[in-house]
Amino acid sequence: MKFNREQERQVHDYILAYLCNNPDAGDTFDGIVEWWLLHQRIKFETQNIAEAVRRLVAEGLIVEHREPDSRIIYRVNRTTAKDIQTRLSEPDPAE
Amino acid sequence: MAKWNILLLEFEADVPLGKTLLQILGPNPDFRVAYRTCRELSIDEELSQIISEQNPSLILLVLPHLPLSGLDSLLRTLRTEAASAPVVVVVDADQEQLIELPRAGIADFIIPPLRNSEVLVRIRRLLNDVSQEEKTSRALTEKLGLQQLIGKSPAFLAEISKIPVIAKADISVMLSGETGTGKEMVGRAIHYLSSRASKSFVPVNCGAIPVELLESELFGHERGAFTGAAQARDGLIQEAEKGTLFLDEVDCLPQLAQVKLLRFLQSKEYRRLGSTKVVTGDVRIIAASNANLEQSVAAGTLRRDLYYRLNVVPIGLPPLRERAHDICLLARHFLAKYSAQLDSPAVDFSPEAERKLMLYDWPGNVRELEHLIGRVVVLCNQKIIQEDHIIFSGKHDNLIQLSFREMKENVISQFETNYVQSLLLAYKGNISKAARAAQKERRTFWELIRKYKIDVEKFKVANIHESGNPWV
Repeated sequence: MKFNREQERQVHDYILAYLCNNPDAGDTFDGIVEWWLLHQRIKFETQNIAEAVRRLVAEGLIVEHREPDSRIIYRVNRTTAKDIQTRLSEPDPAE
Repeated sequence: MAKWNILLLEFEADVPLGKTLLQILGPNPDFRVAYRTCRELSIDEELSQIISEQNPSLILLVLPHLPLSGLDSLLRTLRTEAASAPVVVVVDADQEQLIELPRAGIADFIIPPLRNSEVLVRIRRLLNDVSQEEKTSRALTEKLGLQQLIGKSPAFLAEISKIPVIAKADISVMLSGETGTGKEMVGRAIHYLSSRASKSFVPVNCGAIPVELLESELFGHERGAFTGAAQARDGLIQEAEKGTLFLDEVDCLPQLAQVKLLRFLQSKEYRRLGSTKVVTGDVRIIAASNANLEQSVAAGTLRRDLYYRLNVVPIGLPPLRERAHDICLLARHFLAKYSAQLDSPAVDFSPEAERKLMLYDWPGNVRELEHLIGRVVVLCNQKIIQEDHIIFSGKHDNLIQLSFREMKENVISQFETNYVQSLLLAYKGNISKAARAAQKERRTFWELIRKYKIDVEKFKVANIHESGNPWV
C-alpha cells in the first residue's frame, strides 16, 4: 500500500503540527507511529467537530442546552427541519 | 497564576476596538492578555515567537473592516501556529458583511457595541469549551492509546489497567517481562498518558551500550574527560529533561553508573563525567528488564538500594504462552498490518494454521509472533494462510511427528530459505550481490531461489518499508 500525495501531505502535517505544539518532544519512529499521529488525529478531529458544532449552533440549525451539571446537550432545532433537509439535498458548494 | 492566555491581535492600530477589548479583559486574575498591533494582515517572525511562547488559549483578532483580502490565509496560518486556540473575530461590520467572513477557522465573532458582560460571557464560554475539547481529546488518547496494547487475557489486562493511574503519579516504574512482551510499548504508554507527554521519551538499551561508555552516555561528559572525548557532550538524562528516560535491561548497568543513577533518583542531581559541577535534572525513570531482578540483586549485579528505588511500582508483563487466547487476536492484527503494508492478498488464517500458532510456546513472545506473521505475509500468495506457510524459526516445531530423515530435510530447507531470504533482504533483492556474499555462483544461488519459490521482488518492496521489515 502506497500513500497518495494527499495522504502523504496529511501525515507530514500531523508530524509537523505535533512538533509545533510540542517543540520539546522527541521519540523514536515507534513513538511517532503509536502516539504522535494518534494524538494529532484525535486533536484534529475533535477541533473540526467542535468547530462544526459551533457553526451549526451559530446558524441556528442545532440548539444547545446547558444541563445543571454544566454539560451542554446539542439537539436539532426543529423549526429549521426544512432548511436542514434542503441543505442536505444541495450539492456541497466546495465540490 | 492566570488560567488562560489570550492573544489580542489588532490589525491597523487606529481602530479603537482593541483598546476597548483590553479594558474589558483586564485586570482579571483569570486572564493574561498579550496585546499586539500589526500593520499587515500576516504573521511575522516576532508574532510567531509570541504565539509559540505564550501558547494562547484564545486569539482575539481585531479587524478594521470586511471584506478583507488575505484573511483566509491569515486564519490558515493561525490554525497552524496555534492549533488549539479558537479565533474570535472582532470587527465593526453589519450582518450582511459578516457573510464575507471565511467559513473555516473562526470560533465566534463579536461586533460593536462591545458590552462588558456579553464579551466576557462569550469568551469564557469558548475557553470552557476548549477545556471540554481538551478533556475529550485526552480521554480518547487514553482509550485509543491503550488499545494499541492488544490483548484480552485477564493477566495482561490486570497489568495494563494500572497504566493510567501510574502515568499520573510521576514515580519510578519497574517493568519486568520476558523479551518481546512489550515493555517499551508500556513504558511509552506511561509517558504519553503522563504530564510529561509533551517532552521527550528517550529509550535506551543498557545492554547494547559498551559498559565503559554507559556512564558517559547517561550523564554526559566534559571535554577531555577520557581519551577520545574531544568535545563536551550532553547525556541521555539531559536529552530527556522534563520527559521520560526508559532504561531497558537496567541490570546491565555497571556498578559505578548504578551508584550515580541512585544518587540522581534520590536528589535529582548528577555530575557529568570529568566535571565537578553538580547539575540538576527533572526526568522520570522507567526501568525494564527481562531478568529476574531479585536474583540479580542476590548475585550482586544489581544494587539492592537501586532496585528498591526503581521498583516503586512494578508491572509484570505475562509471556505470550500464558496468554493463549491473545495469540490469534495478535496474529490477526499483525496480518492486517503487514498485508496492507506489503499489498498481500492474505486476509485470514485457516483453522489448522490457527491451531499451529496456538500450540507453539513463543519463546520470543509478541515480537516473535510479529516477525513470523511478517515473514508469512511476504511469502504467502493466497488469501488464507495455511498451516504449511507457518514455519517457526525455533527448534520446537512438531519434532516428534517427523522421522529423522524428514526432520533433517526440513531443517536444511528451513535454513536455506532463511539464509537466502536474509541475504536478499540485506542486499535489497540484488541476486548478484547476495550470491557474492554467500560465496556462491549466481546461477547456484538462483537455483535456491527457484527451489524455494522466493519472490525476489518482495524483498525490494520490503526494504522500502523499513519499519515493517520483519527481520530487522
